[in-house]
Amino acid sequence: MKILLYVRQAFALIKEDKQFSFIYIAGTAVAIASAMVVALVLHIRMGNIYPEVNRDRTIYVGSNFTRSDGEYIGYSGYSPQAVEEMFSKLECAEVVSAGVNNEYIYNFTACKEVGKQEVPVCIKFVDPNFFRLYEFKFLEGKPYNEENLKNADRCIVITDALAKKLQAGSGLVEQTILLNYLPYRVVGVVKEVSPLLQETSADIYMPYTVQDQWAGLQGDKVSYAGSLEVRVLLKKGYTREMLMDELEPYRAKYLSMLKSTTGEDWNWYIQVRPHWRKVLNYFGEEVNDASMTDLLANLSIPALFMLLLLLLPAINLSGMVSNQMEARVAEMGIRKAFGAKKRVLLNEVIQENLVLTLCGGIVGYLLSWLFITAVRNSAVFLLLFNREEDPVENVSLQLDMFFTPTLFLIAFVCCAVLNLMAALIPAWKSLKKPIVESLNQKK
Amino acid sequence: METIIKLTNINKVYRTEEIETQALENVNIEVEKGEFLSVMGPSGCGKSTLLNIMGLLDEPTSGEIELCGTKISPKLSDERLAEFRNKTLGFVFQSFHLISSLNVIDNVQLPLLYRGVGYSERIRRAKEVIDRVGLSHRMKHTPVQLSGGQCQRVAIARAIIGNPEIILADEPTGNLDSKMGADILGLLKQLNEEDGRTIVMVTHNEQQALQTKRIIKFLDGRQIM
Repeated sequence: MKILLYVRQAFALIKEDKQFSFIYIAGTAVAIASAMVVALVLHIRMGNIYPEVNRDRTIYVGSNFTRSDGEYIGYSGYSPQAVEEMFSKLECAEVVSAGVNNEYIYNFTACKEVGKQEVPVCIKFVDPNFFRLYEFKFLEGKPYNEENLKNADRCIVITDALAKKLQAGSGLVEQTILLNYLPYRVVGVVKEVSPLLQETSADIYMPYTVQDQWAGLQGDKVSYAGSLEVRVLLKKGYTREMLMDELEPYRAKYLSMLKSTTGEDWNWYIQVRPHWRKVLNYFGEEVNDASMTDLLANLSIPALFMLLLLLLPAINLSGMVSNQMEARVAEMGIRKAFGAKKRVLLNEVIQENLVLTLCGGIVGYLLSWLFITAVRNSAVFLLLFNREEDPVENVSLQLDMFFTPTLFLIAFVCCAVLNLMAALIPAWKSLKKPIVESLNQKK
Repeated sequence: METIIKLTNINKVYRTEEIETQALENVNIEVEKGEFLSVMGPSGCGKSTLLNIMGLLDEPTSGEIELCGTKISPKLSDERLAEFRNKTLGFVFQSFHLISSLNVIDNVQLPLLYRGVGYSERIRRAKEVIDRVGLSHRMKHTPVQLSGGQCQRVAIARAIIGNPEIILADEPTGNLDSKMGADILGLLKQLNEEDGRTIVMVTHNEQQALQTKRIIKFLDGRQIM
């Protein structure tokens, strides 16, 4: 109930000094909007967002080859043989999905029929498990199956956005769409994924065995190296390190086979990256270093940036709060005369300012949404998501990108930090004055 | 009779870089419980300084203060002093010193708020004392919506809500016209006579001082009567 009294007083103060309140709230809003843009970008890249709702358990597995003398040979994916032998029986994996990297996916156009409007499309070549690892919302139909993958069936899953662009209407399942004038059967329609989600965003998903180059991409029958990027969804309670331990015997076996085949010593590193490591790598560590310390170290860079964005306006606000506190010195004297302790008063001032800061915070949060909505198609913004060179026309945004408890918490912490920086010092200075001096201070 | 306020050899010197002003010089005062004492004297004679020292709002340069049998040591922490003020003392100031952003009921309940009294109890007692000073119809008003006399009534309600032993009033009628001044003095007399509260009042008004039980006079920081 004391809180209610502080809130009532804060609103009374807002009404009493409208100019101060407006500038305070606007200043806070701009500061928090700047910090929240950083937080939102980070959240879109790292948070659990449709359909990548298991990012915290998703591991991307690649590999690096070097000779025994250290000479780097290259980065590789895996062959179907490796997927079958190494990954399909993993104890710690809930789902293993394989697909071909994005570099092969462009220069496709789609149309409903010859002569109808042609639309350039992004395609992902993935196995059926892709739709288990990522939780796509199927509006119609279902994913293709292992049989379709094995037989290289020309069946596809498309997004509702593409269906709309093609003016295909509803009931698309089992209908045919032309891709580069070849017919493909639609088996499912999913809710569109924002292009900001690089791992899952596409207009069309089809079995990786369908693509023309597939025969040449398979690698030889004995090699583990190939063109498939493997993604593993860890079972709950399992860790990345456990996955590495499980893969180690296969690594040793493959290296021994390589030596017996080529007569040379090789090093083959299995690159096991959690989702966050794909997104954050400010320090260029070894790819297999992805400890909590490493995560915190990487997060410290955007955190420092956010703090700086908050600090500069906080210095200005601090001057304003200082002036306002000067005007309230007499009030502090009255409160002290009737038994208020300094720490209680300090608490009150902080809480009153917190109400103002929260008002600014809410406005700032909304401003950050508006800002991102406004710049979402710009090259600079797309650069933050590695999509600057992709044929993205109109970046769609999803509600879960902006609205999560984590983001609210970040916004609240930003408000609290800003509030402390702006209010604490001036409040403490005015509270240190003797009561008589405070009482005699003219407003 | 029980002595409730005892000041012994109180001196107060204000020092700046250039001058030194002796505001109080060897003041010795004893106030009995239930007394209504007026402090008179010309402006700048040290009356308000005396009241501030009695009310623990200011520290003496030297001397001893004893309130309700407790010696107030200069080493007492701010927190303890705040507690002591909250429970033992009530203040009424010439310029009311109400908080402009709070309404009447919120202003009145302040001492209980800092005593940690629960919300419903605070409101109950605030309504009770506001009723006593005759302002039940103004509870939701802010100080700017009240007349001077009404503001002083609010200040008196605030001073008595915590049931303090001592009320210190610094020229409580100084900013009021004679009728309102008489009303306020009547209210203070009622508190003294009916509740037995000890009141020390600083005033310039001899007529009003004569209505109290005892008068002391000050000149140039010294008690002359």
